[in-house]
Amino acid sequence: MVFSSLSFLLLFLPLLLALYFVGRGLKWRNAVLLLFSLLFYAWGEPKWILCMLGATIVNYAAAFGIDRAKSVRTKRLFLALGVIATLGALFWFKYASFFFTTVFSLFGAKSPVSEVRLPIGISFYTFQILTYAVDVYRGKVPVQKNFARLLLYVSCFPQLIAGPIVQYADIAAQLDDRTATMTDFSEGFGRFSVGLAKKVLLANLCGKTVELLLPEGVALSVAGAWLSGLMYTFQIYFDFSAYSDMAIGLGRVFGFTYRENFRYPYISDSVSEFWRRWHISLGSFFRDYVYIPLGGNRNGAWKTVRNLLIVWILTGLWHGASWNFVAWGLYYGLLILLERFVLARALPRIPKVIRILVTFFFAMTGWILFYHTSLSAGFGHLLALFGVGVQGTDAGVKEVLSKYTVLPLIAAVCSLPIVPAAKAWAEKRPARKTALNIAVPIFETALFVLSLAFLVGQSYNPFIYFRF
Amino acid sequence: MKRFGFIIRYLWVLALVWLGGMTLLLTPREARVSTSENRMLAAAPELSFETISDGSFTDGTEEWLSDGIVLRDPLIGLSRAVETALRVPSDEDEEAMALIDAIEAEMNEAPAEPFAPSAAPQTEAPQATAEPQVTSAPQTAPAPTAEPTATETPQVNDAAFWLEFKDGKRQTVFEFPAANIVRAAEVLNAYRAVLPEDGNVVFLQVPVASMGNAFLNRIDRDPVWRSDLEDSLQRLVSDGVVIVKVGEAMNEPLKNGEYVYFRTDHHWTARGAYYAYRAAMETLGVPAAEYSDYTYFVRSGMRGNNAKNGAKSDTLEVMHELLPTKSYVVSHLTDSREIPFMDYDAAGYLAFIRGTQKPWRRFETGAKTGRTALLIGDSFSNAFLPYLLPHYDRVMMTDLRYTSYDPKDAGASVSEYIERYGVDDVYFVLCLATSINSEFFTGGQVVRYLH
Repeated sequence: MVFSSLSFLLLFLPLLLALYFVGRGLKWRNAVLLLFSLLFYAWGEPKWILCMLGATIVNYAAAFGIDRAKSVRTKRLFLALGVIATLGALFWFKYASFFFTTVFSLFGAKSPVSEVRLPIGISFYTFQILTYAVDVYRGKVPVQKNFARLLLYVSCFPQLIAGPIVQYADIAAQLDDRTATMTDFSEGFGRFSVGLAKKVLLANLCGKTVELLLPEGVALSVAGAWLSGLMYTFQIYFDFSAYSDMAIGLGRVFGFTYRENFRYPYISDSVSEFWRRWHISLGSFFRDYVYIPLGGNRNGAWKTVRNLLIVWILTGLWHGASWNFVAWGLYYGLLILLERFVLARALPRIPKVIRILVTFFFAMTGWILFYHTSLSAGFGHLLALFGVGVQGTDAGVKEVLSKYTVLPLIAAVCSLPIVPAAKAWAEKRPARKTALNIAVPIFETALFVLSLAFLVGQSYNPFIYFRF
Repeated sequence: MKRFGFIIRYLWVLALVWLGGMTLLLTPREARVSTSENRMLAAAPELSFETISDGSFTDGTEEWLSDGIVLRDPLIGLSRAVETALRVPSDEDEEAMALIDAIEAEMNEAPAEPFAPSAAPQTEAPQATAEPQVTSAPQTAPAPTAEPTATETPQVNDAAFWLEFKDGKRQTVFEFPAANIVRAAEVLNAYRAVLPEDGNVVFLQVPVASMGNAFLNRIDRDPVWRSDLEDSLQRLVSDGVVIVKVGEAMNEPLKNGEYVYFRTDHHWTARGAYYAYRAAMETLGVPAAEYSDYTYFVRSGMRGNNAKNGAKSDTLEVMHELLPTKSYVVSHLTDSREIPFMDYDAAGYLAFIRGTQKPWRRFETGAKTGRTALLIGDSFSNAFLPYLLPHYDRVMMTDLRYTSYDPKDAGASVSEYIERYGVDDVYFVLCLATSINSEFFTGGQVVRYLH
């Protein structure tokens, strides 16, 4: 199930809220939340729930073993078993086909492993459950003896399918004790409505423009290459950050506090900063569980380079099993190395506006590689940006600019931190603050109604004979 | 102030509960027709172990909720209004809107009482038993009315579609800029280029019902439709591309008070589609079947998508096929699923070949003519297609508009479908709004999806 669906909004959410808040005890609430989280996950393809249960059981047992083990060696053994089993499942579902196809193609043979269907959310919950086992091993958190609570941590529906990747240490206390106040309920729903609007009103419309600009098998033009790159850059931001907004908002409604996952990444003035603002929970995971254990930047320049490249190749591969994603990860790894070791002194001398624009351009070119399913198509698109072998413009550009004239402008404005700026401005005077407290719920209500209208409108297949 | 915010969000939840509850209570479980959308609205999904495990229950629930949600029309109206506000209307849009508004206004001033069937409606008739007298489509197209040369491009002027009156005056209804005509010719030639040597591209641009009403509202001035578009276009296209004068083909039937357009719907009737078919066959030099060769299922009381309160309803006539025909929905080039040919239970225009079915249709006729046609159209082509069937062993059909076509489901370009199914002739049957003056035809999907 996804948040931006009528099944979720009209059936699942009202029923869950009613049952959750009808009981006051934490046991009841956790039980309701767990039951609905499993239903949420099972909606669509129930069989994959076994996969998630399996990962939880393995790590529950591994953590138990770690806790009970007397020697470090035994603890390591239990941790290794848990990690290997969990990552093994991820490898099988996500990478086996890619890996075996690549290896067998080197010998001109056909891979015996055909395409394996990917259980939804596996990349997210695998990392989440690993943070639990590793942190128990590190002694950072106590073992969770209550299996249902551990399962609730893994399966909690707001962050289950598309993150943020919540580390166990951040949430452990809230599983055992939390309250959901009137303010949590109110502001959580407010945040959810903003996320819903970003997804339905902005990401989906940006997505429509990308479909118009990049039809399969049609040659790109220069204008088409730029506009499609730009609109996809906005689409992916609004899409992903919307999900995080909704997750954080819903989490808050039920008394959970999740860390921010996006902080207006398109105002970054360097690629390094971009990645401190984009998918923060993934960056934190790789920093805490890969980069630092590898030695981070403490063992000299060459090892730092090695560690960074490993992290960025893994980051690329986490997003998908193809050479495009490897190239995309390497692209960022090399840019960050360049910033750190070559341009460290020169960058601060460049005006900030220029740095932001250049960073935005590099982010956009990264998303172009990310979008295409083959490297040749990705590089073809990049070449088209600079007019290599293509026409100036095409029919898709004309159509997008006539049908969605204002959308690129709205998308650009909405990707800027206007709301925090407005809040900061309002905080300075009590009268402003009061006005804002009245205006924000009304504005969010309008967004909510409009999002609902667009969700319904997506199914509408009009026949208005003079407009099709 | 915090309480104010809480109350507002609490009201959202109540609104969701109300919407969900009312939708569950009030939305019909069975599939039904939306006349305004010309499609079937989803039925409630069947709950079983199989439907849950294969995901069809959840998908079906989402579709059913989406098609049946309480307050659907105002919500859709709101989303359309916002989408419209996002765009800057071009001069072209405004002209087209003004034109349509003018025709609609005229139609409202003088209600279209001349629209009566020429003969008393028949009752439901059995399947035709007589052998149809039709022949296969031509192996080569007749020579165009004017001769283009390979080396020089003919001079192209703007063209128009107008009503001409007995007193010599004329009223232009549509204008076609020269640039659009040139682009349309390029499109038609591009399609001709992917056909075999003896293939034809046949182009029919169809006037909509409101234009039929405009004609009838001036019947005392003895009007005729005239158009110089077809001749202009014919001069620009390759051999094997045939432009049919559909507007002029409607003059006599309209004058005779024949029932060629619906009163409450913007589509043509079976009879209107028949006259266009006959004009196409005449232009191709092929004997056409008679309208009376077909038997028709007849139902009165049709209220189409322009039905207004108190307006007289329409009579729907839907032909039975002349030869036993099998109908399939085709996707990913070769995946086929058989569906019934017509939907005689449908209350409106959706009856014709069961409306648009994405992404492709295939009709197997057993006519043994050795030829295959492809019909590319909008919904006007649905009533036209059955008349084409006796001329071809197989007819492929697609509607390339965004709302009716998904290139991913199609899985291949139009030219790949042409090659895979051995298409000889391509017919374009498009109403005035989706053809020469539309980006859809001259630069949009029709062009993009070819290769």
